[in-house]
Formats: sequence, C-alpha cells, structure tokens
Amino acid sequence: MVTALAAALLAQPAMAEIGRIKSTVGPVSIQRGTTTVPAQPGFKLEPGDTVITQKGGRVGIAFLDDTRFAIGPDSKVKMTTYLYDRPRQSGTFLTEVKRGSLGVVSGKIAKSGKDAMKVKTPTSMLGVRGTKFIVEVKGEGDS
Amino acid sequence: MRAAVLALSGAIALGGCASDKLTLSENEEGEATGAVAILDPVTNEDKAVIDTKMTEAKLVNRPKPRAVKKLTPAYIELLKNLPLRSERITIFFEPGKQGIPPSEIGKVNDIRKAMEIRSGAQIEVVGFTDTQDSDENNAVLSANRAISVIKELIAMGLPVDLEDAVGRGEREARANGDPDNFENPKYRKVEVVVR
Repeated sequence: MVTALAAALLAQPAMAEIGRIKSTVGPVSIQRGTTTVPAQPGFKLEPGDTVITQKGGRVGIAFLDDTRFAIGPDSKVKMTTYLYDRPRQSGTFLTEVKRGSLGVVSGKIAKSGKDAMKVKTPTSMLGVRGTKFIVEVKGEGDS
Repeated sequence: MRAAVLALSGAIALGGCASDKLTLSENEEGEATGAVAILDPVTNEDKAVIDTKMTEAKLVNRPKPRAVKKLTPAYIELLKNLPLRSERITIFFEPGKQGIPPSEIGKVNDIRKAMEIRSGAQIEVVGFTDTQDSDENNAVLSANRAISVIKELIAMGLPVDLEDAVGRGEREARANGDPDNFENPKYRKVEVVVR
C-alpha cells in the first residue's frame, strides 16, 4: 500500500502551490486571474498571483524553496513565474514589483543557477545571487 | 521645445525612475552576503553587481552603488514582516527500513511544536537513503520514509497532506561523494522542513 503511494508520489506533477501567506497587517488582497480575494495567513499562492497591499497593508510570504518575502504598504507584486523541482531543489522564479516595496531573503532557487531568480521592476531587471535585499519602486509602474 | 520634452521623457523611460532603488542589507546570521546584479534588459549582462552589505543603487541606466550606514526606518519596519526562517528536524532510519524507529519517534513532537509557533505553517517532508540498493528502489524507499512521517503527523491531527512528502532517493549521498552500495547512516533519514 505504502509502496503504491510512493510510486504515485514520485510520479506526481509539480504542486500548484508555490508558497503561503504567513502574516498580514491591514488591507491585503490576492489577484488571481479576474478574481480578487482577501489574503489571510495560510492562503496558498499559485504562479501568476498578484499580491496587492493598500496604505498601511503589509504581508509576509514563505515559498517552497525557502525564499521569503516581506511586502510593504501600497504595493503590487506579481509572482509571474515560479517553477521549482523539489527533489532536485532547482528552478526559476520571476517576480514583478509593479509598485511599492519588497524585502527578499532568497532561497534554493537563487542558488540553483545564475540568475535563476529574477526581480523585474518597471525599469530594470535584477538577477538574485543568494542574499537579502530590498527593492523599492515609486514610479508609475502599475502595468 | 516639443522635441526637447520628448527627448527628456525618452531618457527618463530608458533610465528608469530616479527614486526606484535596490538596497542590499546585511544577510541573516550565519549566511554570507550574496549579490544582486542589475542586468541589461537586452543582453542580460551585468550593468552593476551589488555584492557588499549595506549598499544601495538607484535603478538607472548607469547605477552607482554607494554605502549606506543604516537602513531607513521604513525598511526596518518592512523587514519585520519577513516570515521566520524555516526549521529543520531530522529523523534517522534503520538500514532498508521505512518505519520510524522508536528511538526517533519523539522528534515528531518537535515538528508539532515548530508548526504551532508559525501562522499558516507549511511543511515539507523529504526522504533520503544511502547508496545501498538500486537508484529506483532507493527513490521508492525515500518516498516511503517521508510518507511514514506524514502519516504519523496526520495521526496527531496536524494539517499536513501526502503531497507535502518528497523522495530524494540517494541524490544527496551521491552528490557528497559516496560510492555505489555504500552504507552511510547519515543519509538514512527524513528531513522535515517547517516554514
């Protein structure tokens, strides 16, 4: 029985979940396609989700590869691409900071290849090489 | 005049908003300072590499990194929202066995405690083996070890799921230089990551 489960486990496709909301302060919502829902701790994020905070809103997120985000007030941050092979601990991760502030502690994806993790702003592209940093976008980048 | 305005707006678009910036802070305890590269959007080559802690750079055409003495109060407040670091708990197994040995069963309680102090806790249960037996059998054995731990956690009423289990087989033992068919208790384990 357990062996059958193991076979199913080894054959399973990549999980839809890429990470989880860990904390929220103030107004925070998640935009998924045409739907917007309030964010709360435990909410499972999927690739393509956009996290939106209003004035006074803040949110903490932990991803499957141990990357961690802190998103500040009045921000719009999209997890555009997140591909993570858990057994191999490698993948690619593209985040777009359309406006606001994003604090990052990078995880295993950033270590799995040069610029495997990237952060895009309205005017630049950043290659993350294993570290802790903050990106601030104050421009009109809400595209 | 109109041409001058157009040229100026074009320069701003290419150069980026002068107030957008990147700040490399001190890394977490025990972690070396890494780097963030500002890439050329066309060639993907490095325009600048920020690899010194407490350095900032405006996101413009020609970034000029400069040292900062301390983070702004807004940044300090922002970073307080980073989730706790993940916690790792390792359970060791007998050769070829997938059941949790009685001597290790107490560690399941440590997993429960780690989950309880984290809001929206997420768990990853990763099974490993040494290089004894074939790759294929070890892939299955490592997955079975992970499933054994998951079942124990489910029995305790914790919100975990079978899809939280991962089997890494003998990959880690191989990567660290163990030859084939080498008995190594270090890799007969399940590593539980609580985020």
